[in-house]
Amino acid sequence: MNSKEYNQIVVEQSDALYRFLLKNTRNIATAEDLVQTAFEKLWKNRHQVIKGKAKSYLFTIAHNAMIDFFRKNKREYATDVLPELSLNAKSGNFELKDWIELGFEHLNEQQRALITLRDYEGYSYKEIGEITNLSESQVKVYIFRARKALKDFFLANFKHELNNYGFSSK
Amino acid sequence: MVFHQNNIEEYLLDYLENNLTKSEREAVEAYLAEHPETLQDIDQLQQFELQAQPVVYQNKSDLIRNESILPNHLFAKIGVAAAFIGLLTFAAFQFLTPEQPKISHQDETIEKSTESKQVDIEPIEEDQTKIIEPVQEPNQQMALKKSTPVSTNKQNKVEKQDPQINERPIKQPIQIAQENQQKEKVKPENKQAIQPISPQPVQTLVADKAKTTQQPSVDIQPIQSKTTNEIASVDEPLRNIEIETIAEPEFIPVTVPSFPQEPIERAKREEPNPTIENALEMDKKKEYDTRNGFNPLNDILKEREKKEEAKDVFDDILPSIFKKRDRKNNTPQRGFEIDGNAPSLPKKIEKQEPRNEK
Repeated sequence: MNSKEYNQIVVEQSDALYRFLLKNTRNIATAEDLVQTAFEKLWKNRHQVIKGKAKSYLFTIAHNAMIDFFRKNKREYATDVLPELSLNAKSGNFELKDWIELGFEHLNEQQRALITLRDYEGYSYKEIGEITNLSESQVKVYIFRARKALKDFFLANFKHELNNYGFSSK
Repeated sequence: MVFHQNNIEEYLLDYLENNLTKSEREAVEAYLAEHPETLQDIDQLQQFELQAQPVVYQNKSDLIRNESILPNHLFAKIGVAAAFIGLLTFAAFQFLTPEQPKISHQDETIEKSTESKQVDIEPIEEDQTKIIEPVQEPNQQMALKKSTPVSTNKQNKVEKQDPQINERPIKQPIQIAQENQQKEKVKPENKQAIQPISPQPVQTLVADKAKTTQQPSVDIQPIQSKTTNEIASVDEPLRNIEIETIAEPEFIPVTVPSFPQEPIERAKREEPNPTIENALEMDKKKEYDTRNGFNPLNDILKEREKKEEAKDVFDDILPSIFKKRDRKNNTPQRGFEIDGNAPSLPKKIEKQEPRNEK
């Protein structure tokens, strides 16, 4: 991969990578730092990376950097997205975006990463397994459990709103 | 395929996304028919769908990079090539240039002396003896430089000199006889003791020999040729000495140390001369000091005062443990002694409990 291909990946994948890291870290500054570190590593190893594998390689680097960050800052880590959602929850002005954010709060880090990779970025289960260093069957099981947990949260907290959206809980 | 609670989760996700084969799908539906709770979850999950929200990363310009004209691996290759070319040029310069051995100034002077000497010495080696051949050390070479050219040049001169000059050796036996007489005067009693040659007589004779060589009228060649006859007439111990001195003229200077013996001047300690003037000056100073209150008894009195103060301090600082014992009453003056019995402390007055009187 040359510099031109690298810059093309920056244009195409920087938003997706930033969204993945922002959804998982829920901190803007941390997400920006991790994006920079991931692209810096990609630039250093660009000669060993094929263009077709660049996206998964980029997300793998970002995922590993994120796990390291969580391990290092497990105790003093604070989120800056959650307060806005809590204000919205008090006022009662909810949107689907806020529901999802609140639902993500109830997932663990692994489930959150798998859901975002599958439902936001559209990776296959095999690719997700390569990125997160899990087997394909493990990825499927964890994603199913994560979705079920989200559904249970929504039904427990926003059943009325869901019924307005046409959700039928038989 | 048989599903149970542990392996159904893996296939439920594919069932929702329609990624199962027919046989697998039928097996999953059979399991769901048996488990209505999971069927309800599947129905609810089919109504959920997470959609990606648009998020924009605004610092893309920081991530975009351009490669330099020469990448890093090319820089490394160029550096290696430059180093290799430098080594080649250095090696070529080393091999092509003629070798110029590095010589210090002392070695240069010694080589010059040996070169000039070799020209003179070569006939000696052929004609006379082979004593000069083992010359190796620079000190010996320097010694030879001082001694040998005199003899060799003079040999050539003797050959080239006129017959008038050849008549001069007539005087030489006389001088040698005089020298022998002087030697006999110096040590007439130790003639037999000189036969086993000790280093001191050799040095003295060398000194005499040097004196004779310094004289312009004396040549060494007649010493080797004619003086032997003259020496035959002299006493035997002296002849032996002369033969040895002539046989080893070149090695003799090695035995003599040629270090310059300059008188070492040491700074003398300037001590006050106990002259009458100094004594008067000292008395004057003392007088001046007495006028200004100087009194030698003051120092003695001050020392005594210091000692007394020290005693007082000793008494105050130390506890009464070390106090002297009053010999009359055989009791300690203050406190108590270490070995003695401590003064009894006042006993506590215990409250007397009232007796229980029945």
